[in-house]
Amino acid sequence: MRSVLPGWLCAALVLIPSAGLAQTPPSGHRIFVGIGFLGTSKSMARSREFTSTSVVFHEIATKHADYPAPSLANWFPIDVSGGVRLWRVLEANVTYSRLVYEDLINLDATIPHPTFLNASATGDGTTGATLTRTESAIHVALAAVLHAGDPLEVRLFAGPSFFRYSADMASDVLYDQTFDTASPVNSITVTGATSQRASGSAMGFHIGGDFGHTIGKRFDLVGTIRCSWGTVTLDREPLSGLSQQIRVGGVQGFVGLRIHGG
Amino acid sequence: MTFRVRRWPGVSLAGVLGGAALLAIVNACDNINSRIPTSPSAPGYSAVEISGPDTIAPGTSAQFTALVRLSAGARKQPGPGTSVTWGISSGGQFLHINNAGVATAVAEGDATVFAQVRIPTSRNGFVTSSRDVVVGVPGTFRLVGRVNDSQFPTAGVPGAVVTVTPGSHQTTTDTQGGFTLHSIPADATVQIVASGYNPFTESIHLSSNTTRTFLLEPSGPRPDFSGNYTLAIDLNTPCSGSFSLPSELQHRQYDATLTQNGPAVDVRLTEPRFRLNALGLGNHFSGTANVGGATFTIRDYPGDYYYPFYGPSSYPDIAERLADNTVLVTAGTAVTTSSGGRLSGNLTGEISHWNTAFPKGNFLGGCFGSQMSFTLTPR
Repeated sequence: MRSVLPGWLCAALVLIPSAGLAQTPPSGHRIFVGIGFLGTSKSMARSREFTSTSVVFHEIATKHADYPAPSLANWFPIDVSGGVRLWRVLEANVTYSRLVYEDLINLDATIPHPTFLNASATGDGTTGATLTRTESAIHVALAAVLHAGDPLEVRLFAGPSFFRYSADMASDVLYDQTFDTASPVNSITVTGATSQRASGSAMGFHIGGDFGHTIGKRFDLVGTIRCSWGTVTLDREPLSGLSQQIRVGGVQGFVGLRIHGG
Repeated sequence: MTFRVRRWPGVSLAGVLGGAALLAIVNACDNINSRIPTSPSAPGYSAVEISGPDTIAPGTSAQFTALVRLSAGARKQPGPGTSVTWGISSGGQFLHINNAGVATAVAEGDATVFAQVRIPTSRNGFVTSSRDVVVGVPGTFRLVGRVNDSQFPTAGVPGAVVTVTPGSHQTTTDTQGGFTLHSIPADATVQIVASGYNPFTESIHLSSNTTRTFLLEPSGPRPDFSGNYTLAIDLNTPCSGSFSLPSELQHRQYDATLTQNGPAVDVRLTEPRFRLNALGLGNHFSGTANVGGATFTIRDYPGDYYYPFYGPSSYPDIAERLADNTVLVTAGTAVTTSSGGRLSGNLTGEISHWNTAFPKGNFLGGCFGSQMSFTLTPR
């Protein structure tokens, strides 16, 4: 339930203003530049587990890296946008955003005994330090100005997004093994992981809305909510060595400043 | 400057965007499953090896251990997650073994220990192996011997008495001339006595469990038993009980013709009252002649109900069709001596009675493990 919450927030974001807001024409300015400087993001990604298998002591050994659903991103996102009014209530805008998530990764390893069959032992642990997941995106949108007035302006936008995913991911699980060759005693202690940077790109979609409050002739204080979705395919996930899909995007909310011109 | 715009452009655009958002939500809510590597696969298991002593002294115990041999050549012991079943597949009267692989020797003899290791990834779900174990006194050896006729070295001498000294080791050869003795000291003397053969003595030296062949010289010219006879088979002790035979079936007589080639004797029952199968089995059996008589083996067949599975070669040597079309089967081993042209002795075996659906029919009655007189009288 928790993982689908961002999606329902996005739906509410779209449907509520479309049904309820009266429409007034936009201001006379044709272009604007905006910057978001305080906010956060809840990722669309769910928890994921990746597995590697290998032959150790003539049996199959398995290692897992369990990535939790990304926690809230930092409070100072990079979000820069620019737009132009095309016709009456219709605008076009482009936004660049960059979000960073930091999380500990849970690890476990199941390793066979060197001299006894089916006497594998399992140990678990974490990466010890957080691994960084960075999602940057360029959002191209058409926007409809639903209410334009002084001091409130309401805008709804949607369009394609181009995502770039780059993350440090566990490439191997490190462990210490203690055993007795004369008995099936076997113990595994996970000590950490090695990591590699994995990256990929994908096209996605976004939708959102903002509420501007005029604070000067050319300035608006703006609150923005944006929902974005995409699925990046990694050619080679470091631990499994296989191509894997990664969900990117999420619900971003932030406040910023918009400067009008033209 | 102010102006009003028509309501429809913004509402319509918002509706389109809302629909697109719902589609995106549905897409976002589907779960992405991680792909799991399918290689490498687990190494195969080629066999189970049983380690333990070759010989166990009576009254003592020994530990046996199963090792799983992997296809890569490595060996591993079964761990706590691997089920191992221990058992004795033959010679259970000589050796017992428990679930931990500890074997206890009960009496002198040969036994076979088996271990069945459950390995789910193997072809049948388990891998089984066995190991022969001799129960005998430490420092002594097992002697497996065969007593043959020196003139026909492939022909065994049944009923020969084999004595090994020092000690009191004595046994009688089986129908093929074979015997097994345990706890034989390294230096021993073998004495063999058989009807129709000269007494035999040989000193032997053993350094391990050994298989030897001993050749006996006939004590005189080999008689030729070829000719026409009347074969009489009579139960010595009346057979009674719920599956007993009618008294007339406990005493049978047949016309027989014997032909001899060296020590090999063929006995053919000439009357037409036998139920022959496709291979012509059902009215003849074989034996071995020696100076003092002959030994005959009349074969049964392994499992009446499984006859179609084993095929026609498993048919009994004597299948007599009675007047009501039921079938009487006689089988066993007869050791006879020659006197006055007659061959007479004891037949140890069975007589069984089957209904008309023979050889797949139902059992009607019989006497098993019985002692019968066996007489071939010239006609």
